[in-house]
Amino acid sequence: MSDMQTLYEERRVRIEKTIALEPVDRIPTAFMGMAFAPRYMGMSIADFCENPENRTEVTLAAMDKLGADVWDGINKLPCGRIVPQLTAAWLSHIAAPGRELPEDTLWQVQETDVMKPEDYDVILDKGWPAFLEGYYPRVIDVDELTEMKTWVVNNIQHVVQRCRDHGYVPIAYGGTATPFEYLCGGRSMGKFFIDLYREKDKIREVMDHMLPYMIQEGINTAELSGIPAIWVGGWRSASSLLSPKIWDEFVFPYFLELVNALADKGIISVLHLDQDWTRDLERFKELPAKMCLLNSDGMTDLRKVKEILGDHMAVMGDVPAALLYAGTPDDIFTYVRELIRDVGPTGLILCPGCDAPINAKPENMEAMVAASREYGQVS
Amino acid sequence: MNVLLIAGFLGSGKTTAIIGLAQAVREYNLKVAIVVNEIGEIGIDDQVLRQLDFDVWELLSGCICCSLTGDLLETLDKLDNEYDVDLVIVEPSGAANPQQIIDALESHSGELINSVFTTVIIDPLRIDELIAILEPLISSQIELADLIIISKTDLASPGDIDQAKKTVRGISGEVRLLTTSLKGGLEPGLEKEMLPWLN
Repeated sequence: MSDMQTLYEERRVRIEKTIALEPVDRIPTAFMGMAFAPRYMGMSIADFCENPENRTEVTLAAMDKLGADVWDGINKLPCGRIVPQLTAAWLSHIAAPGRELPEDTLWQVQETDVMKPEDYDVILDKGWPAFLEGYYPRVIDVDELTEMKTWVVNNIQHVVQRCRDHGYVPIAYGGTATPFEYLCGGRSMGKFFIDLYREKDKIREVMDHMLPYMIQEGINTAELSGIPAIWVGGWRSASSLLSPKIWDEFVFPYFLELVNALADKGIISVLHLDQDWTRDLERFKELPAKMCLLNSDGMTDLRKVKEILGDHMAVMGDVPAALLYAGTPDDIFTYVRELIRDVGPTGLILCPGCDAPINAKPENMEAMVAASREYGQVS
Repeated sequence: MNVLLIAGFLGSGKTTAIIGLAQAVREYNLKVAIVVNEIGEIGIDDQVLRQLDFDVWELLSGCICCSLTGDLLETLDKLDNEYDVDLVIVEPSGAANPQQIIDALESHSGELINSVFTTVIIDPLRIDELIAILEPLISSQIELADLIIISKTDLASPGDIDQAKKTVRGISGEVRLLTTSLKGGLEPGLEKEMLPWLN
């Protein structure tokens, strides 16, 4: 076995032990900075978006440059073109740099109510796959979406291997979400929340219909990559937004069924949670133990997570995006030190919260790496 | 630089309030910039603002919410360094907890921000619907507000307005609360309520 293979195996085992809440020799550290990587390496965002090979290679190069000795893994496999992928995840049109936007600008979610109230009936009458077939042309060139999917099928194993070549473990690839997230993205947030009040029963029926497809999407994704973990997104259904009654009825039951179905197939759910979910952490005990990784953005109280879920699921996070832009290297050092002290040493993967933003200061990302080196050693 | 956060849900009258305020502030010979995000209501309407010759800045929204605070800070830095504005009116994302934005503004290591004032606009015809769905978000907005404006007094009945007031008072007994129609713009003098430092 080559030195790099040995290193890769060591890191893979360290991450697996962390997810299983077993002791580790060092807190694993994972990279996540989709748009930060090209900016850091001097590549235009348009080049990053248009050429999927660029996405893979520039991400690996950024990780190498920041500190190849520190990264155990990468939160999400950098595979495929990002704009069609985000379109499919959020059901919103994404304006692309180099096309609708200047070359070196971040892609932009353009959230409007592309999905109309009558589409709920279309989903119920014709089924989710048929609905999507009719819906996608409203937000993206379908040929482009197909091309992206085909590229991924043909190249994903090569991308996995490229990560291995660099000694980095891809923790997850792709994702799925609860029906809430897809509907909220398609209808737009404001409209969907009003729908939830006015058309509650119909929406419940639509969600019940959709869920098996979300589950299958997750299983297919994991099978395709061979990585036994996928993202399960929670971007608009946080406890800090929704009333408990709504969350209990339209969010958590679907989360539970989705995560359980994935766990039955041996797939770990990386719960990629935006905003603050602290209020409902007790409910997360119902999710299968050691089959989830709570991946938060700096808003959910990780001290509470440790207290409530410390023997149930590991966490991955959560150096906040705003701190990575506006803070100083000293701020980052302090944040990482306190995070490791309070939430480690078991069950923690150090990672930027959600995603290191395009404008994260390089010195702050470098400080995160240096802080991992300094405080991450357990034994 | 002074920052005014204007929060409120879709259809509450935010666009009207922002346009009215920006026009009113021009009379004071102050330089104003408006920061909006694509996800928000104004993001869709930013052409209207541009046609009125206001400086409008869009926040980048590569991720649905988490990166917005960093983008906001970067935009404020730019406005401070390159444009020397007196007032920045910010329409935060509907999904953003205002506390998240205030924390981000406070975390800024520079000294560019003199004051942050938060105004929340409430549609009395929809407040009950929104509370039923989004109680934590609406409560948080009201708790953090310096000023609550109950809009659409021309459309809502006195009973609706009283009920909206009661709802607000149930969440925050102390917050300053005003009612206005916002029909046809901002009532004269309302700019001083939204920007106390003008006094």
